[in-house]
Amino acid sequence: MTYWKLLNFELRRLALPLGILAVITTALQVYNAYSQANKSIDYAHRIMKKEHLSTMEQYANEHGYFSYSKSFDELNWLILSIFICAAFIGFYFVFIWYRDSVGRHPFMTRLLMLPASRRNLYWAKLTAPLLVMIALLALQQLLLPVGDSIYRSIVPSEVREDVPLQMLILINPALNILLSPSIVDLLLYYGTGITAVIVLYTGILLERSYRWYGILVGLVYAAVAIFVVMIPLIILQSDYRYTMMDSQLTVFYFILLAAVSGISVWYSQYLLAKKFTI
Amino acid sequence: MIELIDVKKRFGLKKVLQGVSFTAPRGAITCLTGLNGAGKTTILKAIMGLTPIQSGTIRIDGSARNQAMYERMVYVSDQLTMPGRMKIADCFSFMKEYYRNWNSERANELLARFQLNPADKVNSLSKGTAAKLNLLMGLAMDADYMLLDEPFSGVDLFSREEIAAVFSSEMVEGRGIILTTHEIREVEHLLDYVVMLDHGRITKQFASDDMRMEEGKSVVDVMREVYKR
Repeated sequence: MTYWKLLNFELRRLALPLGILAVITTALQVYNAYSQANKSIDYAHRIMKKEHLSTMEQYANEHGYFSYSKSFDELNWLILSIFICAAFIGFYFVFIWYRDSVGRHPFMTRLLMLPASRRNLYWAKLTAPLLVMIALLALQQLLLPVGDSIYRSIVPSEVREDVPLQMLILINPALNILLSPSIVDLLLYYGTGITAVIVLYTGILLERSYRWYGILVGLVYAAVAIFVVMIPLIILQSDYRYTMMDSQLTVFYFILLAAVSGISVWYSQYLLAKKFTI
Repeated sequence: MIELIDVKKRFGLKKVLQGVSFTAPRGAITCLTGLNGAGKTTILKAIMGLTPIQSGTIRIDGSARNQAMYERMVYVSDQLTMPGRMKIADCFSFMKEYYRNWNSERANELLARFQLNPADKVNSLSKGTAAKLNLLMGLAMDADYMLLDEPFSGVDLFSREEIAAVFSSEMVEGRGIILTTHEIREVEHLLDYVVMLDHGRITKQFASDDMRMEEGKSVVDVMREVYKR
């Protein structure tokens, strides 16, 4: 019960940043679709004038079709919106611990004295930013058809080649990772990301428990965790490459992720319960 | 009864507590005194599990401390421990949501007594008002023990008198109180036990009534003797 209360509390604190990020993401993506469509039309008109073409069909026959997907294969506003959200979430994973621990009003003192296991606090602080991240990803997915509709409303069908939305995700390298259509890839990317956050939390809790010495231990801990997780990749690059099949290496990678996450969660909760110093 | 037995604590190489042992009975006010850096706040934090100890034992009514005991023990820090952007009314809602022993009736009574505005935000409060709110949040919990860290720190004369008056009211009756303070004169007549600390060691501990009756000395007199040496 305390977990849900704390999660609700953390999410309420995140509501304003989430709202701002949602507005920025929406504005950038809508602008992306609008500017790409206008750029295409302007270009077509310029060429038509230059080559004395009278209709859009003639342009399409001579020079091919425009597609919303073309705005996805290059660095643009879409990437910027993803970068802004990722940067905020990344920053928040650290900020969520320090915001309450330092300053004039150390709210962490109150949180540590709640009459319930401190594990609740750990899980709430882990899941709240992750839920915000999922919300932003859902928004990205929602904005794809919106952008597509804007593009369609500006670019006439005579010069427009409609591409399935799924294709848009495949074309863009960032979306291909964030909204990967392959379930294994999705688990791989998100598993790695969540493990990275869990290891980061262990590092932060080490610092909060042992200060300067904790930073040193945290860095060593993170280095060891990264090495362990990278073992399958090292195997992939080595002479032992053919001792394991790709699927076996993938399973091995998942096992290592689970092991590193499990150990880190246990150690973090131990630090929070027994060593955390205010 | 809160018992500390041979409690040792280090911050890096610095020994902050060097074998501290004392007991603070329920229904009595125990005062921890000492110069800055004597280890008073660290003792309170160690009792509350806000900082780990290297060795020694801390027992609350004979048992080891656990998270459930936060409904029986209240720590009133010298800083407000609620987010700065929270209103006083929201602080009350928060406490009510998490603590079964939060006494809303008493909280509202104290709100009127200290003339606090529930619409005020935590970060807009003056030092004196913040100290009153801190004390209010401690007193509004039906807890057996209250640990107060410098409740008079930076507080004006009138607020100090208001806060001191609370210690002789029925609101603290039956509770075990451990108090750290430099402003000993405000509460000297209320103290039952005094523990004097110097560089993490106990230099003297006594029952204030015994000291008065047997040696004819006040707490301030003993403090002068101990710390002016």
